[in-house]
Amino acid sequence: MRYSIRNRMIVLIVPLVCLILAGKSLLTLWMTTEAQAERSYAASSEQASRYANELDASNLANLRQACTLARMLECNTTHNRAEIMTGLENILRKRPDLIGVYVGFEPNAFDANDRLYRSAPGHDATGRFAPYWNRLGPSPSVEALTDMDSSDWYLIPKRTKRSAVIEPLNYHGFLMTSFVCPILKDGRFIGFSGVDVSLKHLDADVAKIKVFKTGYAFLVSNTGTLIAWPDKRLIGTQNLRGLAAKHHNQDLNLLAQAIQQGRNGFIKTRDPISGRDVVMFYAPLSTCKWGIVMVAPVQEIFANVYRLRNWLIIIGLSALILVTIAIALAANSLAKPIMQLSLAADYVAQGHLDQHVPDGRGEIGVLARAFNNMTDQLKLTITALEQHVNELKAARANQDKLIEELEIKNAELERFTYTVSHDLKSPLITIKGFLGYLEQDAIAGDAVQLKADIDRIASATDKMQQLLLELLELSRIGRLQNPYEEFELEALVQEAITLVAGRIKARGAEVIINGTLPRLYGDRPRIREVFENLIDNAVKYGGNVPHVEIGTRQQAGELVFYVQDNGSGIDPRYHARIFSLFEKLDPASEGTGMGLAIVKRIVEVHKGRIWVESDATGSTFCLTLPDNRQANLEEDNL
Amino acid sequence: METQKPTILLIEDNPDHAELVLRSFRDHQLSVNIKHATDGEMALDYLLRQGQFSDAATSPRPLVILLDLRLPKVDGLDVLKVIKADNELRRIPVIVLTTSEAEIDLVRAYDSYANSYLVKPVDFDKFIKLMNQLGIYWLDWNHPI
Repeated sequence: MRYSIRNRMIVLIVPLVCLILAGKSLLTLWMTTEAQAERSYAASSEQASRYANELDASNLANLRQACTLARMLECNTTHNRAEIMTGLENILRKRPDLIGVYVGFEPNAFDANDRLYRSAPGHDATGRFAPYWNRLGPSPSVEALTDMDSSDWYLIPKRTKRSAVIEPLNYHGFLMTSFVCPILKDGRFIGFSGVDVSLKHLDADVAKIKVFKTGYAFLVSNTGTLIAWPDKRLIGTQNLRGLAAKHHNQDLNLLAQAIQQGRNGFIKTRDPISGRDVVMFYAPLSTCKWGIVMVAPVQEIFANVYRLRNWLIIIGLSALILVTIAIALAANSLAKPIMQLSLAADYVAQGHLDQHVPDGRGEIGVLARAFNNMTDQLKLTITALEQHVNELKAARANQDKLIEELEIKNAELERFTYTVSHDLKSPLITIKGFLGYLEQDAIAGDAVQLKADIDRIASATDKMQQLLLELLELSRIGRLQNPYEEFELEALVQEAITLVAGRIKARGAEVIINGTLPRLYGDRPRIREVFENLIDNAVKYGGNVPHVEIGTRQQAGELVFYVQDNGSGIDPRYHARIFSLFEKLDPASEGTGMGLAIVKRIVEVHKGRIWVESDATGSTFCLTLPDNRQANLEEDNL
Repeated sequence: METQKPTILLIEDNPDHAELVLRSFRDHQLSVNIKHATDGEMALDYLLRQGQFSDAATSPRPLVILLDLRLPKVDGLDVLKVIKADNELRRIPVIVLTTSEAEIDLVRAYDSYANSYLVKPVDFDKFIKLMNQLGIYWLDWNHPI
């Protein structure tokens, strides 16, 4: 069954279906992935920009605060340092989100009275007006700004004459940044104002940003310093380039560069935290050129695609299984009738011609009908053949029987000719022999011998004559027959006894009929001949005082006639031979040896049987004579 | 001496034929002692020294056996077969003397190791001549054991 239709169909079709399904699925997946990527990237980039704007809003507000202060100071004409000090303190008290608020003037740029304020609160040793109201202590206090010539919050506005967001710095354990604005007079830089803001709230805001399912966002400054980051310990202390080095991730350097240049976009890389494949979408904050970065796991961006892929695989496998089952079923429905046909053919081959296969539809149905038709035809042909063979057999058997009968007849005839020629020749030799001696006797004048020889010649001649007569008689039996008639057997036996009365008397024999004898139908004179012969023999070969009994007995469902004597019996060796032609057990006895042959022939013509039963107390000749009336009538009708 | 004369066993059921044989031997004055068995059974009894022939003195071994084929009781061919199956008797020449010229009888006789097969001539002169020559040949010329 290895190369069965089913298996071959499965082997041929299933890979094809696999190929088609796989191709289709791959194409769908590829296109879907592309579409999904495009859509996701666009959406995520947009979202990153939106988050950048949202975060920028607070920065803008802080920057505006600094600038508002600068504009106020530019328009101030009272030059009252105390008033400004109070104003600053008020701002600080009103804005709890500010860490500090300050102004700083170039030496003697405020009112040229710096020398009056040497080391006063909010002034340095030279009396330069640089008050710094802050919350670094337990309560708002003021101190003078120091190290201005080495600080960005002084150098940048002085150089650019524009407001600026200063690079965040770690100040006493928290990250803060300064929003500064130059104070200009007639286009000349005379000082600056600024606010310091803790960046904690930015970190909190960024932490709230949800990117897909498990993604996150972070915020870096223009130089890459981490402003908002999941691991709070790294905030302010680590930057992108540091992370790039730490994680051997060049992509992070590229990201840092992009942010520094204020570009937006995305980059595919490995997440430094989880190590997963991620896409980082970045967008700049317009006020400060910081960068917001959204880290989106690829897995989640393409979650839809993956779900689609899984479905496609499941659908594909299901389709494959269904196709296989369908093929198997189809093949079975195709193969089953073929198997049935094959089995039926085997069965028919074994000679069971009644085998039919169920009809079907289509080609199989045609085949099944053709097969059934063939079986029927075969059956008809075989039946006809069998009949023919039987007829031939019967004819052959008949022929064989005829041949056998012919052979028996032929053998009989051969034996007949043989014995006849022998038995005719014998007396001839005697006659011619003794004729020859007659001459010698005559010459010798031996009258006694002459008489004896003549007697021998006469006897031989008689014997020859008797032989010829009996041969004629034998040839007549069956050939020439008297018309069949119904007669009393008893009367017939009485006649036979009368015919051999001479011998009975001579031997002093006793002949009796035991019981009554039935009526018979047959050739009466011939049957009388039978009994005459048998009785004569019985008297001849009986005991010293012959006792002969004639009667009937039932044996094996048929009537048996018998003639019993009290002689010395016949040796079983001769039981078959005695019915042959010219068989004489006693050479000295008279007769030609044809008597029993004639008897047998007559009985056989009457379709009966004859046999002898014999022991030391005598011989019994038994014969059957079936009632031939019916058979004879039929023959006559023919 | 009677006993020194060679014995011939004549097995012949037809008394007339036996008489013809005996008389022709007598006429030719053959010095033989002829034993006549009238049927096959008697012949075998004589040869096997059974029954009335049990005395070896009165039933000497024949020099030659003349055997007719169609015999009562035991057929001539069966007698021949018994003779030729016997270690001692088989050396005695058996001359089949019969009326039959049938080929089947010739074949059977020779197949059963008959030493000679003679057909009784119907003609008297030939019969006498045959008997004469038979006597000369088998009693004078032939070397018995």
